[in-house]
Amino acid sequence: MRCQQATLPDDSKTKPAGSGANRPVKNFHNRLVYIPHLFYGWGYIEHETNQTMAHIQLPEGLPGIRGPMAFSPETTKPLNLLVDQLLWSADNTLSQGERELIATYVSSENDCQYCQTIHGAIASQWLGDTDWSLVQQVKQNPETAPISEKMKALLAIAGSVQKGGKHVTPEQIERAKSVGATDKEIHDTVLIAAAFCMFNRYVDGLATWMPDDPSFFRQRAVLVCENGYSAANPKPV
Amino acid sequence: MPHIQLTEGVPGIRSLVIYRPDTGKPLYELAQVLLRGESPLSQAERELIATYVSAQNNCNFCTQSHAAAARALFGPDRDVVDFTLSEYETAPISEKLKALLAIAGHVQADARTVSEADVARAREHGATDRDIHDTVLIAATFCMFNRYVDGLATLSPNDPAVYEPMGERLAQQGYALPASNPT
Repeated sequence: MRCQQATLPDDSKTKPAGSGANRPVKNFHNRLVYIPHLFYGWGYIEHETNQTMAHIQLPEGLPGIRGPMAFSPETTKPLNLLVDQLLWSADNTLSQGERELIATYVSSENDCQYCQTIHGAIASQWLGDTDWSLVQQVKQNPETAPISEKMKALLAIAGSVQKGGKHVTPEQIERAKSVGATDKEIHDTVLIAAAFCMFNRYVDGLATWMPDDPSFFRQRAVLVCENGYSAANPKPV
Repeated sequence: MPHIQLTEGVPGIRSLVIYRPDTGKPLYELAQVLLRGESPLSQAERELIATYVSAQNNCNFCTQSHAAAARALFGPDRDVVDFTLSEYETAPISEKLKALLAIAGHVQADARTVSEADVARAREHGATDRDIHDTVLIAATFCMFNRYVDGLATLSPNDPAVYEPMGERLAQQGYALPASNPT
């Protein structure tokens, strides 16, 4: 089951060439794997095992960012403190769900499958978006998604940050302020977007793997919402 | 002019961590452990990777401040910084560092393009897992810092002389969160 490309429900937006499915990977042969299935019991299910192995030897069994995080606990501590403060802390005029939507949108623009799936699941958990449809709409086009005008304006800023800091325009800032965004909300939007340009690169630059089972992400989302990021990523034993 | 109200006269990242020290603290801790903590890469080499990525991202403040830090750390070999920024493949640096800069360049442009060939080249020249990990995380981290600094249009002096004392301070004292009320 390791190292499989995700077959999660994904947005249908056209991805650029060289995106997830086309990335240069170690291609293992298509093989039959013996796994338990919720509806069919134990049986052979054919999987597209477009396997990717990480570029470095990471602790086994930890998907996405959790592999490198366990590899390097000294850098992991401030990384988790950063996301706890930025995304999980209740002390913010943007809700946790709104901040996770920004993280998810930027991860989607960077085409980082692991980050957009886990943060999408966490956003959905906070927002009661049980079928993940809101998150899908935001990823496809924030301007037509059922979110506030302020969130649309902040996501436009986040989208510019994803391309590069200098892409943010005074008009985008003006728009956000005109629909009620404060300096701190604009600051946090820019920092969340910037931080996910880091996390996405950390995850993809080392070619980490991800599980293909949505229930993994749903369970993990509950854990993160309840306990925060530092607590959900204990030191490896 | 910055997009939000920041302390006047304070440049770049410093103005931002003074604005919001509760996120500034982990950001500075990250920079300190990543660029000054234990690593098979020297502090000068790590600052060079940070400088190179910042230049690729066209971030004037980060490029100039980390170039100054790298020059201070390279000491008598300080010229390698400018050689590397103009064309690292012909710069007087190790083959390992060239291979790692190639990886850092891929991480900056699109992290999915780091190939097995890139990694194999680094290993041929002696890079370990730790070298590769640290290179990827430094490159990724500066894709954050660069966007944070430019995305809010912080003050970014052009005069290289402004950055010299900054570089000396970063080389000698590392990354310490500035006081929230600078005088």
